[in-house]
Amino acid sequence: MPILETKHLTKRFGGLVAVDDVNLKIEEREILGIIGPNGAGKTTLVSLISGLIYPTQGEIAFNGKNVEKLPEFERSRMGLARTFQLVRPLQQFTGLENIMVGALFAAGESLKKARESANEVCDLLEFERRNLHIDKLTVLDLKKIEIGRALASRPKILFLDEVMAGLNSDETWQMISLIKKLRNSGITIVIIEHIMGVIKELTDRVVVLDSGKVIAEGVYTEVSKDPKVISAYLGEEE
Amino acid sequence: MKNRTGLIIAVVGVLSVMISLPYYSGAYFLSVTMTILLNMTLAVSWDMMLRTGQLSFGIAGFFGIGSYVSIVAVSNFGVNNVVSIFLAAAFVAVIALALAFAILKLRGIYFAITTLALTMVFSVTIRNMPTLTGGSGGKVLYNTIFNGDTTKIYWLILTMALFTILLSIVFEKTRVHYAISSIRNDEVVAKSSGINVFKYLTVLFVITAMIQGVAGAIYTQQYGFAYPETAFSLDFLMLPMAMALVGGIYSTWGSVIGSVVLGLVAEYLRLVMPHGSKIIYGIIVILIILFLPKGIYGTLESKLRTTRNGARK
Amino acid sequence: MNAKPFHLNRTLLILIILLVVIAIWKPVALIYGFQRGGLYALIALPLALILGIIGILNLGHGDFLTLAMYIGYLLFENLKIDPLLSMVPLFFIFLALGMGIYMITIKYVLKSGELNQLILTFGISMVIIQMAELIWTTRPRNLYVSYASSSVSFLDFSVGTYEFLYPALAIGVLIALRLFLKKTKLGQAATAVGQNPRGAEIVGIDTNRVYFTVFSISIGILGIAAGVMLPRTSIFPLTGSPYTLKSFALVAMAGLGDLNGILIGGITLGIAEAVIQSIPGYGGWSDLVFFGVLLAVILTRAYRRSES
Repeated sequence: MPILETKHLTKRFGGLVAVDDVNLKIEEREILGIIGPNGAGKTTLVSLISGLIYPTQGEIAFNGKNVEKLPEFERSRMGLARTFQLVRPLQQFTGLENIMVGALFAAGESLKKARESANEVCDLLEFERRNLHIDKLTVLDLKKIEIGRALASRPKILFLDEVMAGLNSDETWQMISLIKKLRNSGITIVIIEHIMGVIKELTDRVVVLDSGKVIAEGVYTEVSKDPKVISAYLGEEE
Repeated sequence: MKNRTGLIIAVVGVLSVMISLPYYSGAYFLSVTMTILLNMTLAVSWDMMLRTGQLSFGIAGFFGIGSYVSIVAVSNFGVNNVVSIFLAAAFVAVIALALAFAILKLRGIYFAITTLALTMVFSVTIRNMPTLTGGSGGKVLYNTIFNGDTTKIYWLILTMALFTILLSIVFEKTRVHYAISSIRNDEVVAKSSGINVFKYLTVLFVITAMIQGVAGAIYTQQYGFAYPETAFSLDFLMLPMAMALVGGIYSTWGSVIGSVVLGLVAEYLRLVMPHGSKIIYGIIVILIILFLPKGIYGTLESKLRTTRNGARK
Repeated sequence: MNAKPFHLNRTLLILIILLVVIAIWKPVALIYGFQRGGLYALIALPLALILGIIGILNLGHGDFLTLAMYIGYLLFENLKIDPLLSMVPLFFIFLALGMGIYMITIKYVLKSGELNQLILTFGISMVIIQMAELIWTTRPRNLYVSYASSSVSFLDFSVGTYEFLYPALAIGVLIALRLFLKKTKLGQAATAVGQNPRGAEIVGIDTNRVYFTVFSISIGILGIAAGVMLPRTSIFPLTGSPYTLKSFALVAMAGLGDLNGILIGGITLGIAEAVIQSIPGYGGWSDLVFFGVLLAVILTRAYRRSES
């Protein structure tokens, strides 16, 4: 049984169909890549699954249970976690406290336990300046907070929305090895990425979206040769 | 360890001074203290809601309802004075809970303006139910609480203020703090981190409304009357807001410090300029927003933090 | 999109039917309501401008009106300036006041969030109210000019003619504002800023200048409204306060940016108020018309948004 499955998932905004009849099957412990040109509906798809927005039609099954009508906070407590494309740190808190929030509520831990878990997550992320306030941190630190908050919620599946954007190549490599570590710890990972090198390096399988539709699916090296995929990306460049 | 002992001694000291105040303070100072405690209660409760990111102009509305429930219960239905205060709390809680489902979906100016409009709706409703409430003529209470024993009334108000402060501190020290601060900082992140936003907003809204209702009930019991103009007076909104702002929003001690400072200033001003002294509150609010948005406590706290951090480096 | 014209027609149809019914049932209330509704619209227009373009809800709106009326009263008492004529100096005095208030306060909270903006304008409101109380006490002032009490009677009732100035002026100001927003460069910039402040800034519009102009013109219009209200309104520190919420109710009802809607909404609610007021024993509830509509509109919007 796939850990997450969508059936005919569709989202319309007025006349625009952002996500169009998407059927996804995500297997446990795989790393799935979602790629596609700008405006293809990748982030919308993640937001539908995480529960930030509700679908116009279709179903989402998580561990065999339909969740498309559940509010976002309940889905996050079930083990669905996501990061945001633009980092969204909680301004008032330190890095550690930001990460604690995930442990406190999504994982339902006590204050003391949540602090421990958050520290563990920080160790894993090699996030040293965890006790500083947000305004004193670097972009990489903020990315770590974004991922850390999701990790602290003890997810079964983790959606990473363009976590590499804005990182230099050293930092990108750090992030890649981190994601591999996470997968080895048993988390299913879905990454949305523009940098094809990252996709090639990390993913077991990719899904290509264009105008809200899945146009190709399979191993990256094969999919990248698919003429439909190439024309979708070429269309973007024009 | 040493710090904690010091804290305990300080708390016990302040508490014993506050509790024994009626035995050595004059009637005038006692009445000033009661006014400060009342406004402190309102200020802390307003700030508690503000910490969720929702600006409520509804203090005066719940205060007024509390006033009227209490006075109507005593004079129309012969309820015991003390019981009437609990009745007011329960009544306000029910109204706030019902309203919560409707208005806690609103944010920003829409939430603020709706709470302000509700205050007006309450006041118009009370005014137009003369048989029950005395209409615009108001209502006078003949059998006052504790037979007008000021010492006992003082203790009642002190209990209310201490309870509110304690509750506010509890909320600051527990997971509630993380939940509502996250909601204020970024609701989208709060939701995706597993926080039940609506639940926390409802709990905070109902509890703070209850506190404001109880404050209204006790105020009415203390002075023995309720008129629509006074019970729903925007003074009960303006003054607590100014106090919380002066002291520093988003913290218990900010509101407490602010209400003591501004309470004393207010009393002095009332003596030297009997008319329009309230203009000062308005000016203070404007100045604070423009020049000291963190208030006294907030500014001190962040100064302290930077020096402490600097020392660590 | 397609459903909208139909929706509008149906609303209009219901409105017209209601008007006919009211005209037969309570003709006086219809006329009073029309007059008063015009006044509501006149006062709500500047609030809509500030909210729609600057994005700030000015909680001191009605209190600026109060202040303008006091100053108009002083002009009449001391310099014998006719209230209707005083609209001109009042407009310029309040234009200048608006400039001043913008420069020393509003300008600094543009980026500091809704909360601070609301608290600031609430503070301004309190200062004006208390200042009025301090200088003029709570004793109501009235001024008398003979032309304001003329009336016409037809059939067996009479209505004041002066009050027809309210809707007339509201229409005048509405037309002037629309011309300003459409035809002048600054007005077009203001429209652009209202729709997309960041985008406007990117294409090189000086948003600060737009805000400055819009704020001061809006406060200036309150001077005009005060002038026309003077002969028929009793002036005290809280005279203008209720108009803040009522204006916001109209803006919320019409939707941001719809200036015509404010006029239609104002007249509709004015009539509704007048009808309720004319029912013996229930007149006091008429105050709830605006709040009721305000709550209904805000809540329906919130629910519609959360469903989509």
